[in-house]
Amino acid sequence: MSRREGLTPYLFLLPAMLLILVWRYIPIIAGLRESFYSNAFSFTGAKEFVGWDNYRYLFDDPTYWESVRVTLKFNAIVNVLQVALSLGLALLINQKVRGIGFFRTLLLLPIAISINVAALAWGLALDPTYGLVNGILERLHLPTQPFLLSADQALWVLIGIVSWIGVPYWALFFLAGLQNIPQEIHEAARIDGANPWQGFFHITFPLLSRTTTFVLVATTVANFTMFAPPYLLTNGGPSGATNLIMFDAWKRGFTYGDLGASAASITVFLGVLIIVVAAEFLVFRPQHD
Amino acid sequence: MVSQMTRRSLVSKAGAVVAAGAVSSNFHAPAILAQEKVTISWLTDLPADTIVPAFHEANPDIEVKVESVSFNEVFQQNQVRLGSGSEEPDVVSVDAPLVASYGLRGWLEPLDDQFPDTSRAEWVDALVESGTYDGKLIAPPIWNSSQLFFYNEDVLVAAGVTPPGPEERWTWTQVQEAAAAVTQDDVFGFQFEQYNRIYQLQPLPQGKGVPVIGDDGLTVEGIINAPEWVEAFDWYQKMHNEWALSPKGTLEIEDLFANQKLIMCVRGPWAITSLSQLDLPFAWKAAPHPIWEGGEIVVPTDSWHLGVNVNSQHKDAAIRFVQFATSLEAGRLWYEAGDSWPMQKVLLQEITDSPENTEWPRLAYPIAARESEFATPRPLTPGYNEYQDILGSAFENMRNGSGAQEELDSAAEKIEREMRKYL
Amino acid sequence: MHQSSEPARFKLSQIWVYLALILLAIIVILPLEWIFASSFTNRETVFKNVLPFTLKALWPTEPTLSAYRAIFDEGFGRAIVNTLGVAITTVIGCLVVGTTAGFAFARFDFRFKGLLWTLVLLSLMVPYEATVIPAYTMINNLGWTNTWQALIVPALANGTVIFLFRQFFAEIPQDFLDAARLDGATWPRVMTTIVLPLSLPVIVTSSVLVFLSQWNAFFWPMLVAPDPNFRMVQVAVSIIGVRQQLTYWDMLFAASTIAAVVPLLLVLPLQKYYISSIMGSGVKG
Repeated sequence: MSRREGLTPYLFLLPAMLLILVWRYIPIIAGLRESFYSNAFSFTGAKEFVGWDNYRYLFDDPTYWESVRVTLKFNAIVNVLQVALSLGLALLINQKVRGIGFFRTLLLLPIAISINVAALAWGLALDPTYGLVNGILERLHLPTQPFLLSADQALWVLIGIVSWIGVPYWALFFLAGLQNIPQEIHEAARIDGANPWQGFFHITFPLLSRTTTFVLVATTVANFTMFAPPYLLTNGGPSGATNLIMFDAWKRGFTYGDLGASAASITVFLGVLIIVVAAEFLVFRPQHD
Repeated sequence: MVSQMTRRSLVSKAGAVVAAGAVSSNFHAPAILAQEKVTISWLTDLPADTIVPAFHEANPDIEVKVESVSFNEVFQQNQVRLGSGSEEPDVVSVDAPLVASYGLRGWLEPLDDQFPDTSRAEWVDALVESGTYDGKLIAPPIWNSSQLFFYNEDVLVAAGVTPPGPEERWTWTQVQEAAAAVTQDDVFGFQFEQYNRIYQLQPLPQGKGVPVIGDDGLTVEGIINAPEWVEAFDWYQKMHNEWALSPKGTLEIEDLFANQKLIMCVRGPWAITSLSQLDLPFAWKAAPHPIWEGGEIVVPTDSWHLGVNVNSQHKDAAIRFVQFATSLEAGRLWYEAGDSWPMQKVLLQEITDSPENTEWPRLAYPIAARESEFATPRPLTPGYNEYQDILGSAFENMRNGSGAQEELDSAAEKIEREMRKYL
Repeated sequence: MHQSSEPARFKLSQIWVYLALILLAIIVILPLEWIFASSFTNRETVFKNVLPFTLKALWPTEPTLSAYRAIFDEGFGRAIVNTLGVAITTVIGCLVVGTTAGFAFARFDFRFKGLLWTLVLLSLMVPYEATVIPAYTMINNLGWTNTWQALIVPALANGTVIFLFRQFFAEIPQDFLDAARLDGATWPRVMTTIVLPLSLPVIVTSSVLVFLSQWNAFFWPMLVAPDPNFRMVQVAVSIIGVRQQLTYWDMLFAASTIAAVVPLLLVLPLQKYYISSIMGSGVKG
């Protein structure tokens, strides 16, 4: 480009970069800094530099490790589940049957629902004594379930709720991907005698690899940072079964007033997240392209 | 007004997105018109409208800007704003157990001079205690509470149970037996209103004559898992599980009681007002708070206190407001509006003596007033949030079947660990 | 938009398709339908038909608008107006920021381009929950609590919009732009008269995305702007009808219904734009 363009790109970029630096990067750095301080209680707002103490405190705390375990378990299940289910949903609503438009609209509804409305709706519906779901189960003469009151079921219930919103959302991306595959490719496969399953595994799925990677990474980030459901529904319980790490960090900061430990937890978390996402990129790198 | 703000914000954004001073002053400054008027801010979830107009009338030179938020938000906002040395809010709402916490952090202005011993003598003693930290009064009380044992008379009588008289104090065993007589299908015998909060459940262990926290305000090991605590909460656990007399999960006690799905409950005096307004198709009455056989009488005392932000720029105005809020006049306004239970001894005596309160349901009011005699403050500790939250989880786990000893041991360990930062 | 209409393509037998669709539809709709239906009842009826369950729980027999009236008495209308104002402002702001930045990244070469683009992409990866507490402290220190700028300005740092525009602009053939430049048009003029009109799908998608993120925002507004004058709709939904000792569920549900309807009205008709923009962004296969 000619020299005259010299400053123009920078001017065009100024608002964006300024905003991103101030509102995305500075908080990260501020958080990192905060993790090395502790609230001293002799004066208002005064802090004391404590070096790695907050981290040591955190790593000594069994509740912290519990939140790590819960988060890992949650993510090991929910990310794969959501990618698979959203791909399945996309395939389903891409079918050429009558009325598919109606169903497609219906099944994509959860995208528009905010997390707090979803949590409210499902939290109530799954109430063991007064909830809709147990009411129906009872009608069908099936055993009622404790759902969020059971340490065994609670995490699965959360997985269900976040997938209720997440799956349609990611399905939209897969739908775009599917609709982008030219007809000729499918035609060619059919002519070659491939049955639908073979067609899927050897043609469709590989062509979706870029979308799949994108969805996997994006859903990983979203699910690792999941905070609202424990906050709104379970307070981390029962018995810490839903004590996801972002909720645990929040609690330390806001309920226990320990901003240093909270910041330390978040800093460690960000580091781990970057590693996990980088690993996903490396392992699931698109085949072609 | 929205569009005006929008245009303003766009214009100021063009300048520099981060330039705080110029922009914030447009949106944040107090009334520039009345030069003489001082504006103070009050962050609260309480019905401020009941007393603020009266205050404005008596003090035309002060304007109280009420920031009305939800219960949880009060704590969060306090934590962050006061914690970062913000000068607002001027008037701070302090939940009683947090007085020690805010005191330790030096967030509140000591008010001993403004509230001499004579004025403090007018308040319920336990509440004066709650508002004091390190010998200094930093948060005078404005509200009080009491607890009563409410019951559905018709159902109890139909099940062959003789309900307690208005001066009769049942034991927890009697409660349990009565509950067993009426529980069936989706109808439960008994539940506490705040079924998983230490505030409400305190009488269970404390009624056995043991403390709820160490003298240092930090130690819980050996205290919350002492044998008496385990006994008390073993009963609580069984009520929910083995005997299934108390419902689990998230509950709306008023709803359940009104729909006759819950026959007995322990609730605050506000229930008298709300139940009366519901015009229920069955007879209900109240009795004093139950106790253990041979145990001590313990009635939980919840109260809201007000403090003055140590960084406030308008301390004098703020103090005048706090003085008003603790006055007899404000207490009466709130009580008559049905908002709160008064903390002024004079008002409590008035309630007990009033000729209006001789028949049900108003007869419940004097019962509540007398129970205030046994008011017991919540544990005084800077780590109350941690204490409450961890115990709350323990209680929830017990309601879902976990054993009392195991949960209390685990809670003790967790609380001890969180308390270390205050040592 | 391509339509894969090949009959021999991955086609399941119709009956299974319909079964799956219906089953899924039930799971998806059930709680929403219950809330929707219950919003037309009053507090006492809400839980009446749940245990034992009857279909009346999903379809009110005596519908009433009492809950809807009540929420507007309690300031819900204010919350809606606030949110609309904030959302629209944010949309405009993000479009301005996103088109300029996206265009710069797509059509210019300059020093630090790679670095800056990486910064933008990385910012997409940093979840906002991780920055909430420090950001809140920043808001507090700036004195921005309970102000419009606290709700709007941080939301303008939207990397997704920049990304979408950048991808779109990268696809515009260079000759197009060269021709305009040869005619003497400055870059801003090129942007406004040629590029922007072409980018309608991306504009629509970005606008919807940003609008929704503000409409559905719950946590941030609760922290920074809890005052009723600045209350946003999702925060209002979570506390409306909640009294100290009981909850007016019918009001909560009415508010939730309204809160849910607005995004529905936006997202569903505009599905096609969404999909075509995603396709254009190079994210597809």
